[in-house]
Amino acid sequence: MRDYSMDLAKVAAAIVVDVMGSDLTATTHYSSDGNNIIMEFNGYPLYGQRQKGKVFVQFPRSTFYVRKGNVYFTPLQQSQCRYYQDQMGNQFVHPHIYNDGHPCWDGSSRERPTDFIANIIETLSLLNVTKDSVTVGLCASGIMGVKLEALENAQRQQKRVLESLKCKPIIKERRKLENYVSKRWCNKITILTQAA
Amino acid sequence: MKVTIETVTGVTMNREIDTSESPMGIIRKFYEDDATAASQIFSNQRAIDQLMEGNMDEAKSAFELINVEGESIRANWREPLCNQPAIKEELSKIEAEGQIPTFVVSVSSIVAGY
Amino acid sequence: MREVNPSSTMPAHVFMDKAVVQKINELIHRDPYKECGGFFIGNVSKDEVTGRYNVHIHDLYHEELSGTASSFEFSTDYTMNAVKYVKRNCKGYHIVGNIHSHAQFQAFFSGVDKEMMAQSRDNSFYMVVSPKHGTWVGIFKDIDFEFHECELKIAVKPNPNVLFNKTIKRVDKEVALNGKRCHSSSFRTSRFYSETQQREFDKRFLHSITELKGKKVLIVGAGTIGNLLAEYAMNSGISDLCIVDMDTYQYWNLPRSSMVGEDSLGKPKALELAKAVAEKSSFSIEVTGINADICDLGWGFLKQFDIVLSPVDSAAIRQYIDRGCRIYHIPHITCGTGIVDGDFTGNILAFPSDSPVDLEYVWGNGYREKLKERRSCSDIAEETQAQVMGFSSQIAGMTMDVALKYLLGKFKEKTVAMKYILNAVGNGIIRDKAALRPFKYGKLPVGTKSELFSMLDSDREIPSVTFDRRKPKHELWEMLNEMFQEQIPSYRLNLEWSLNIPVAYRSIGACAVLEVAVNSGVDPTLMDLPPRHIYLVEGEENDYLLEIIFTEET
Repeated sequence: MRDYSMDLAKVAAAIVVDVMGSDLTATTHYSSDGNNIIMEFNGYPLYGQRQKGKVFVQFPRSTFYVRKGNVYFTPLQQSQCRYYQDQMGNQFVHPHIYNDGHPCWDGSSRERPTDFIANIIETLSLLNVTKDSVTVGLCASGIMGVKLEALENAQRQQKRVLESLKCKPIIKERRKLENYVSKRWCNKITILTQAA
Repeated sequence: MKVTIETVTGVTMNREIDTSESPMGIIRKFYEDDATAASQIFSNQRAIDQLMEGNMDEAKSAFELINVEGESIRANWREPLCNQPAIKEELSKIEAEGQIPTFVVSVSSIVAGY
Repeated sequence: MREVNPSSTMPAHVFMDKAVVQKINELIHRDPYKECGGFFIGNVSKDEVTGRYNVHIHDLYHEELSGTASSFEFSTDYTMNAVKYVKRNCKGYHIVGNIHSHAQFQAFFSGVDKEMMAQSRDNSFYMVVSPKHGTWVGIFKDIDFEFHECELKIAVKPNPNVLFNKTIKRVDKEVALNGKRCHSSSFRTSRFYSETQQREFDKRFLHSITELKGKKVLIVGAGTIGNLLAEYAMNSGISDLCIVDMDTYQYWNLPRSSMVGEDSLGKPKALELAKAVAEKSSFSIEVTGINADICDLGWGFLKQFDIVLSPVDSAAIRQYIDRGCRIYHIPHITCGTGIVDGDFTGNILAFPSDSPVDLEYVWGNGYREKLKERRSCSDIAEETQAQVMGFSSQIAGMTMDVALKYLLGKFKEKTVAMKYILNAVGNGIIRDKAALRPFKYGKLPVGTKSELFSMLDSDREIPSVTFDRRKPKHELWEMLNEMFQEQIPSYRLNLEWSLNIPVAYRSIGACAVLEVAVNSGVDPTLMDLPPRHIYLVEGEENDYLLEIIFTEET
């Protein structure tokens, strides 16, 4: 049985790894009730820790699916997504992630797979932490401090992530990142659906 | 030349390839050297058997070079890579930047149909 | 002095005539800012076998006397006047205690009250009432200065002619429903008429009462129009009625609830309305009230009814009920009032069992965006109470008329849906608007996209599965895969299509799509779904309708 939802999630995870750098590796699996898919990224430089560890991104299984030969993406709400580190249930350290692991998303639309994948990349690289996001948007948790303190800590962590994983330069420019992600996604899903 | 072969679902494998070979030849050699790793490229066993006999569904299969902007350049399965101008040009660009080229590869079998 | 703490385990029974309650209200509300008091007149007895005290309060003596904001004294003169009153007017009775108000304070026995109670050695009933808070306390002190808790009952003088011609049997139940506690009260009222009396009734109805026997009617919503519909159903001779509502009566909606009174304050609407119907019905009737969210009961709950009426205040709930009725081919009439373009308007939408259109087509699907918007008769601040009640009666009357015609098979056009738009008389005439505009819907126009009818195939029966939802979900996958044969790793239940509103639209942890996958374990979300419902199952090639009955059996 072809499991398209899992294949598409793997494609998405592969694109994240492609941009973040190949020192990061990805596996994907289902939650025990089968309702969610979990992307597990290994080799991530965890905040406040010397060693590298795991980061998890969980989202509904129905986010990516294939029907009658077409690939569909169901835009998800922030409450349906979770970011964890070390182990499931442990909040990912980021100013815009709540204690229970769900992200505080900005108002930008997340209508396309490209948006979702680019958002994962920006979250893992902390590129979505800006002066405005911490002062106007406010922090979802104080795990990195609040306001400008959070920004400083996030920027320090960001530098560490970009350098240690050797992320692609396009990661810093949203337009270029989106373009790249979009092309890779379209290319892969074309091959995937044609191979069926 | 050192390249990365990537499956559709993102499994990556590093290979040394000969650009004077066609993609079909490159993949056949890959399978002969390391069947376990190479089998991840194929949709099923029939696709493997057919390729080893020199057959494949070229429309449904893919051997595509990814450029810096994420665009893909589709290769012809039966022509040596060095004889395909678009591929050759892009490979030089990538090498000049000190990067390792990535090919996304997927092989599907020919099935009876109409 | 002994403490005013009831030491006896045997509470005293206090029976107070209803007229006394009315006198107490007159007394304490004359000047609610000042304390006042009165004397209870009645009798006290002690049961020879059990030793329980019984107090009958027959009358209240009070004068227009007020104390201060925090005290009142029963003067000697006042007491003597009370004694004279008893001698003159209440032969066979005597003074058995007193009542005083605590004005703007809570009801309790203060130190001064305790001193007063300690002064006389007799059997007495004492009461303190708070006109501000509506609270009261009562205590019985016996001749040995023992204090007893009181069980107070109000005695009403009955009409002897109708005392023994009706039985009402009541059964209360509490069940677990999707993790919530659900209460229901079922009443069976039996009224006994002679043949002559029965014939008189038949002269006054378009149909005989027996023609409606066995027809089951559901009313969802026990608000203003719900009360009226229940009344008209009851008086038409409907013999099997069910009322569902998840709210309680509050003081602001009681004045618009024609069937229930102040006794229902704070109590579940559905249970109280069912009780009122059982007690007031002139005919034999079985009526059940269920205090629950209709969405938790599931579409499967609707299947047992011959017609569903939905005078509800939410567009989403109307839509939910309608879709369930369309799928199970049950006639559905929904109605309501509201302000549209500044006019007080009403609407009645009637869908026969094989209606070619659904509510979504007639009314649009803006209900999804307006999921939280509620519109009820309590919101019509621009109109008088008389207008609201009168117009609501008109809407309810028309609704019940159509409903009866559906039930009796007397509706002329059996496959046509009707929409009636009414304007409240007065406003309509002032604005030169027609009082009533009917619209007919005979078919769905070609090319119209309907979320429901694109799935509903009238020729095919919807299959059904039963599943113990405590088991791993992959066992349900096995049933679905056996049935639909797509050989895919997961089938999706589209909970938005199936209008599982409590699950798909809840503010935290909303689940719009439930995966039933080959590798899924136990899923607690299944426990939040209704016990019997129809789902849109999405495969990779096709979509299917499936009834799923959840059990918790081993």
